[in-house]
Amino acid sequence: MTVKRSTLREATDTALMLEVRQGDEIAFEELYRRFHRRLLNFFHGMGRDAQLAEDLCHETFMRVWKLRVRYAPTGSVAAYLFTFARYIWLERCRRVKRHRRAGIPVSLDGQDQLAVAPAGSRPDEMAWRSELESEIFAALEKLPDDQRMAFVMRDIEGVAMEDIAAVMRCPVNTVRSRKILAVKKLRQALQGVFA
Amino acid sequence: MDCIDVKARLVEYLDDGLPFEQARSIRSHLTRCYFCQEELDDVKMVLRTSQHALKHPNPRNRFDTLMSEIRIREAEQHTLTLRPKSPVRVVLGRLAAVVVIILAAVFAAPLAQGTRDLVEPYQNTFNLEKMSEPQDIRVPLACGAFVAHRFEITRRMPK
Repeated sequence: MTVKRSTLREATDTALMLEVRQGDEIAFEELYRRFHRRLLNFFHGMGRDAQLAEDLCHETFMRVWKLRVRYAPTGSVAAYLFTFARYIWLERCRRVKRHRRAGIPVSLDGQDQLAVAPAGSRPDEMAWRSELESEIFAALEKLPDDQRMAFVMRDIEGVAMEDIAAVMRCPVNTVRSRKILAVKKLRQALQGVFA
Repeated sequence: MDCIDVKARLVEYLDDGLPFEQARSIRSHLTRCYFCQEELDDVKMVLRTSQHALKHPNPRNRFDTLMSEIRIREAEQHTLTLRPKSPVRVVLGRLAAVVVIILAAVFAAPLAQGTRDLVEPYQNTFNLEKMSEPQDIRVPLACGAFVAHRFEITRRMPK
């Protein structure tokens, strides 16, 4: 088991995913270890709710496992996983909108938790951080979904532009434009905070 | 490159999304222009702060929980496929089949009658031993020639 784990740690993402396709749980664990933080950050960036991000990240991996036999190594594994993540996020948005139309109170973005400031932070510094993060989330919420997604995937998670284009099913230049617009709008929204 | 061009391309510059020559030109401009350098620092601050704010505060490895949930779901799925159908569903299914058969019979009966009406004249036509004369019956053109020919042969045969 230990030998296999160390072998898998050196395997490429594609080789790992091919092992997962065969039902190898150890390979799946290695895939989880490599990608779960990135997916968590993606969902947290989109939804502002840490618990929701964990649930959606779980759901993403469950779908990846359930549909593992359909995997074909045509692109990067990051693009493959983020495609699932994007679909699950959009599914949740549609569900929330349906509930709202039916009059069931649901929040798309959860109540943000207070930022965990580094140890030794002064109270005023913690307050400033909390205000800053609230401003960032408020500015992000105003962005259209596509710009938000492009920004979170590129600037927060460092996903390659070609992979984002594959996930969002649009040209690379479109991803680039969306990302630039998102950063510009964020900057305008945060000018008052940084001043 | 002037300041307007540089400021418009700062985000791409930080993202390494510019061609080599443009990036070099911007870098050269930034060494000489305080205002554009300040603008670059602002953009970097926005990105750095966003990265910090948007990252999940407490990422935990919950792989064991994930696999437990996967196994539970797979077991539930397996149980659903093996579970015997309830008696009520079986009875309703059979009742539905009976209704379909009855409806089919009801709608098919006129069709069968119509078919019989179509066939009957030909049946009489081909019972030539009982016919003394060709009867005035309506048959398709091709059959008419055949029938007439057969009648003539029969008439000429020694009794």
